[in-house]
Amino acid sequence: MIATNSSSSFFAKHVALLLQLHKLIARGQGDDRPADDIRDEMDFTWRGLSADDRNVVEGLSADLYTLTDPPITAIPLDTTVAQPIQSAIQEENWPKALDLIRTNEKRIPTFAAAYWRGLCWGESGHFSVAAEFFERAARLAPPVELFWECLVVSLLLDRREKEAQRIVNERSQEFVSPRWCFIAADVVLLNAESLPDDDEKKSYLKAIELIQTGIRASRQPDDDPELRHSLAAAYLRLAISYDFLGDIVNARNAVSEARRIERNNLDAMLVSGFLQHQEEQEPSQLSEARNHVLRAIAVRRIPRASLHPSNLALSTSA
Amino acid sequence: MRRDGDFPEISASAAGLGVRPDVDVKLDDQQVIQPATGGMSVSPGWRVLKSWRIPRRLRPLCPRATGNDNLYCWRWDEYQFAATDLTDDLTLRIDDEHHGLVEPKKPVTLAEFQNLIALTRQQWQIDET
Repeated sequence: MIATNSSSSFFAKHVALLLQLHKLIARGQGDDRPADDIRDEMDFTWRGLSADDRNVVEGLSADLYTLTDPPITAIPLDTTVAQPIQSAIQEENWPKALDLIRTNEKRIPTFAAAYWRGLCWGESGHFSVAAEFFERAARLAPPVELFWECLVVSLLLDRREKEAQRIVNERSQEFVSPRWCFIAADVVLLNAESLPDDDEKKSYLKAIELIQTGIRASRQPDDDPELRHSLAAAYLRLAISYDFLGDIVNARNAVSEARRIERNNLDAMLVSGFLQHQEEQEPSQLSEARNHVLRAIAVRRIPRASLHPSNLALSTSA
Repeated sequence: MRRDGDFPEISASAAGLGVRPDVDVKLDDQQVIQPATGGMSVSPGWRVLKSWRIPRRLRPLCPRATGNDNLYCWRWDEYQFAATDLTDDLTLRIDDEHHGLVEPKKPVTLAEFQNLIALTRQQWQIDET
């Protein structure tokens, strides 16, 4: 983790203030009263930070400018520069990775630096910051599906479902990989409940369509455990979608399929139990329970991949 | 601190030459500031200031700077960053390697302390190199 346990609440607050301050600066309001009020608050949160945390947030202050500064694009991704950074990320040594990115800033295309920074902050649980960097990476390298996936997952983890929906809508014509379909289905499902009844129903149908498209496009999992898990999760999404529509038969079939693909899938057991006991629940409780189950099975991890010149133009797939 | 002509603006704020009651200094029951209990923050150089206190125009020299561009960094040339008496009534206390406090040498009221600090105004000069 980036923050130590003793100072994590101050750290999270300080990071949030810093992000707000940078947004005001980017809008040309860095000398206005609201910006000064944020600075005064930062004096307070600063006192609760450890020396290591202080280094990290001061580094972030410099890094956040890369969201708006002219990007470095005219250089290829140099694997000798990338390798130590990706190793630090692999070791989950986020402060080291962030330092390495900053030290080598001028030798790294901005989209790659932004992706790595997004990973460091996202994996540390700071999804608002991660989303900013992932969006920067995605806008600078639009064909790289991975960056958009990371952005959408960060927004979902930050409970910003509507913004995630906006991104999914924006890219819906470009991407058709299974993983994108499943993430898009998560976004549709997590937004559905806030819609009027008719639109809510359409959303579940849309989610089912997306999931089935993703399942059809997936290759056979064979002995690939990651792919098995991904497919099992897809069937669980399908089960929840059918359940929302009141189609309990198809919901149970989908859960069975998930358990066939991955026998010991804990989420499948959870959904199976939920379906079996739902007749005893009040409708209002049921809706809340469905939502909890949906959050449990939705994507919870930011996709992580090594960047290499050879894979940057490709979409990733489940 | 803000600029007023060639010298810092006198004000009881984070942006002026002065102290903020209840933030920088605490008054005791007799409404007096005791020595060594708080004062005006100073540092050994602008480069070690917190990023949001360094004006953004200094980004070419300090990439993390996010401070208000209406503020300036000031230096009091006469002294090193070490515990010392600054005037007959003011002293510099160092509380860590990057932070010190200009404090009264004896108990004073808030108004007296603001005045003592204001009297140093012409000792300060802009330092942003």
